[in-house]
Amino acid sequence: MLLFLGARRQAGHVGAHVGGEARIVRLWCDYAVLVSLVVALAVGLPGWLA
Amino acid sequence: MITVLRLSLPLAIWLASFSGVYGLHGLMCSSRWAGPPIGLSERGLLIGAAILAIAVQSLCLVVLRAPKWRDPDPAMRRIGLALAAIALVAAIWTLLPPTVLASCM
Amino acid sequence: MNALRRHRALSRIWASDPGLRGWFTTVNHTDLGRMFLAVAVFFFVVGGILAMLIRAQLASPRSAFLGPDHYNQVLTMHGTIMMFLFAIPLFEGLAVYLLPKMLGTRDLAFPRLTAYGFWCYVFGGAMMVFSLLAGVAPDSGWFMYPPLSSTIGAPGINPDFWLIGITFVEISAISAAVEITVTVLRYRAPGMSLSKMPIFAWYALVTAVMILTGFPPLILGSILLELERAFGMPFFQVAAGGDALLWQHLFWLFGHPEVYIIFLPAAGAISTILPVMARTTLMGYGWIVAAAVSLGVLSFGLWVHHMFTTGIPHMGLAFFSAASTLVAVPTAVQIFAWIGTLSKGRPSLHLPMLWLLAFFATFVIGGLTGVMVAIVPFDWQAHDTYFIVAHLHYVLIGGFVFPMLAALYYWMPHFTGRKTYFKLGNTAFWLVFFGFHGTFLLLHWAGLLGMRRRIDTYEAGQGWEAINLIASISGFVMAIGFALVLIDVVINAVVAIRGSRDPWKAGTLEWAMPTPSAPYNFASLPHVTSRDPLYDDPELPVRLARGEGYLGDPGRARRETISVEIASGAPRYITVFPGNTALPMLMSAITGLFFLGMLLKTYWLVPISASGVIACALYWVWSLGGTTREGPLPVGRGPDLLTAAETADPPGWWGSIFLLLANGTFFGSLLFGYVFLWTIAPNWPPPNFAEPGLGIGLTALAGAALTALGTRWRPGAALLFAAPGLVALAVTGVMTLMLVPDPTAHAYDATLWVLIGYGLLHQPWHS
Repeated sequence: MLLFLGARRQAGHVGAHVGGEARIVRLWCDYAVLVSLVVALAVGLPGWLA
Repeated sequence: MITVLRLSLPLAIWLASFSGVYGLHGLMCSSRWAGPPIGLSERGLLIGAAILAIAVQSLCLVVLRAPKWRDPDPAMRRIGLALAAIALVAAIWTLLPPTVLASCM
Repeated sequence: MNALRRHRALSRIWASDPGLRGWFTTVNHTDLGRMFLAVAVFFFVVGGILAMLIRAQLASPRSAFLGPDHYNQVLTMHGTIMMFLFAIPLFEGLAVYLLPKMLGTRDLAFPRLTAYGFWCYVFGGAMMVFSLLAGVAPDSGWFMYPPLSSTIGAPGINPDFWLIGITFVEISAISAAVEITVTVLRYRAPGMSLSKMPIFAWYALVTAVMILTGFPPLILGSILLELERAFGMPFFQVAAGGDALLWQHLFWLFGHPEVYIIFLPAAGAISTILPVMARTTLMGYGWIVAAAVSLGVLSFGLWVHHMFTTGIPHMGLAFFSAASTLVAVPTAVQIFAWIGTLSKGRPSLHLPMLWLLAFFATFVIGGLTGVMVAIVPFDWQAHDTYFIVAHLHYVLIGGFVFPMLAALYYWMPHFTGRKTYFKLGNTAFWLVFFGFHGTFLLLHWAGLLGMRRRIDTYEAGQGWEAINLIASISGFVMAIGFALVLIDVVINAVVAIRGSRDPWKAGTLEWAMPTPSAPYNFASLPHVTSRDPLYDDPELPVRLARGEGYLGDPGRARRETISVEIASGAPRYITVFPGNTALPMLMSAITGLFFLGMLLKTYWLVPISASGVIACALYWVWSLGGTTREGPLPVGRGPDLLTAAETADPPGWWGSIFLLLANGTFFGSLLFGYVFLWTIAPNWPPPNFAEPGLGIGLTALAGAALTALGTRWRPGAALLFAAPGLVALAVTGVMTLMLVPDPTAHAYDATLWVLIGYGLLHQPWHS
């Protein structure tokens, strides 16, 4: 997504420059971060509780 | 978006509190499948959680009536208040009787 | 520009391609709505034929008409088709066709997504029907409980058709739901605030959000069960730390909201049609909206009432019994509002009204038996008997099919532009009405006499013979009635005389256009000031045709409409829609290959087709927007507006939010499964569970921080920091995965695989 957005910016797409598309990509990246942290918590929890 | 949040907040709180109190009951019972039934202190905790959820739900109704938070559109304001009232009734009806009848049988 | 020249210019811009090509390249909501409806009716006919086979088998004791194997397939496919391939797509079709017209706009928010969803539905449905024709249809019941559906109970390919085919079809439901949600919130006529929206749009909005949050648990359950069947990951096997009840929880987390997903659109149609038939306005608009929204949320707290006999603790039963009885309240609010509307007006007994009266008579009975089975002691007696079969048919046929038949006759002049010819419809109505009650009223008694559901035959001498014979004869009477409805529709569509616009004298915007509608809907977009714009201004259609509304000048020669603020309906920006393209159909065909690869276990096809889908998606997104800044453009009325590409909240932003809602519900369901198995299953986690060290934990935290900060700093920093951050997260995922022992040995390890795999599906893709 980030690479794709960069390529669109290079190609001069208005949406990639104005900020709307970057906002969408940021939303999905934030979700990926949240998922990673929750999964890490779920994987680590039994060990911490033991 | 604020209007949509105003509309969805009361029932979202009900859903969260219903899931939370039921989940708490599940966690308590899961450790008691083979042991004695849950005691007075655990039952008290469940009832306390239910009362807390009802209090939050009531607060939501109060906040939605406050001039600072209420919807500028009178029709949407009425719908929002109706939803908050329904959510409060739902919280009282679905949380209090079940927790008073606490049992893991 | 006069009205005729405007019509010609707009038609050139908005029309689908001519001939056969147009069927595959159209992205127009009117065409796709009609296609959705036609395919849904086809599946209704298939599901109805299967119902007749069931009734033929059960008409007499020890019947040899269908053997047990065929009966199980027919029974499973009847439920599956009616739920997944008829009811939900019929709502989608009606919403796709009607919503833009009712909301005063020119198309749905994402026209290509509508087409993609439609073709996924067609290909997925075809997969299911093929299984039936090939004699390998799913046979474990439409609920697919393991172990009946696991490799132990069903070693053949039959359940795989269900698990994979339904997941494929659900792409259609999710995409339609995103489409409907964004359209209702952002694509309305200027001035149409939320409180001035047509009531059907409220119901469609609630239903769409319910689809976004109700379907993911089932998609997750289907994936887990298919992983168990295909790769031996034991999520539902007690001996390996799993639990068969996890499936029931995931299934009914979807399954009970599904009942309301089916009922609410019908209630939306009733709330729209009833005031017009009663020649008045809807009583209690606000209360009805509140009731619909609360039904939508409360319905997610009831799922366990389908599992009262599974050994749930008493307090759990009390929670869900209380919630199940509570849901009767918002339902009753709607019923009373409709009765109030009837008493306020002067009802005329046109055919739509007859179907609505049939709805009242039937649905109220179904609702009351629903309250009966919400009471635990009664449910224990009636569970898995024909009482439940009768109850659910009263709710689903009474609460969905009858209102949809009212909707069919109400909007048929809109679909066809012809006057309706009602005499055959009246005969059909009485046949269906009496046939239905003759079938299902009696089956309540069969259930109370102890007749279990899902049995393929029964012994004589238990007092069930007469009931079943009468039920079967009545079932065939009902089928003849439905056949007459179909014939009536064909007659109306082909030979009836041309009708007038707005034959019912309704006030909503879909009647403010000539019928059948032009591909652009409105020659210019209206400014709305009330819930019934046509009652306020009967001349509105003429003024819109003259181009006196918004975007009446087709000079820019592209598909344009206006997007509005959510609450106030104030104009926000101009959206430029894409033209006709075969890309959605091609992409759904490649998606079909992906699912086919999984079904036939030709796994080499899976990554190839997944790459094809990604390539199509990238091409799709690449073609969005332009490379020239246009600045504010005139729209005919009010201030000039920017195009969507030049704003910070384009339609894709809103689509992403609601897609993430579905995605997050999927993830939440997965976490629920993890916690459920932890609390229920013995030996969880197993002694040799994976323990990622501090290094992996710190790397994950660093990756998370890099990603979050990198996307916020400045545009160049995203690639410099966020992309490596996501790669770091992915690396920690892979390293943890390598620590997890064999995922086929224990459900805990299998769950970790799925959790980490879900994370890995997100991180590299985003970089």
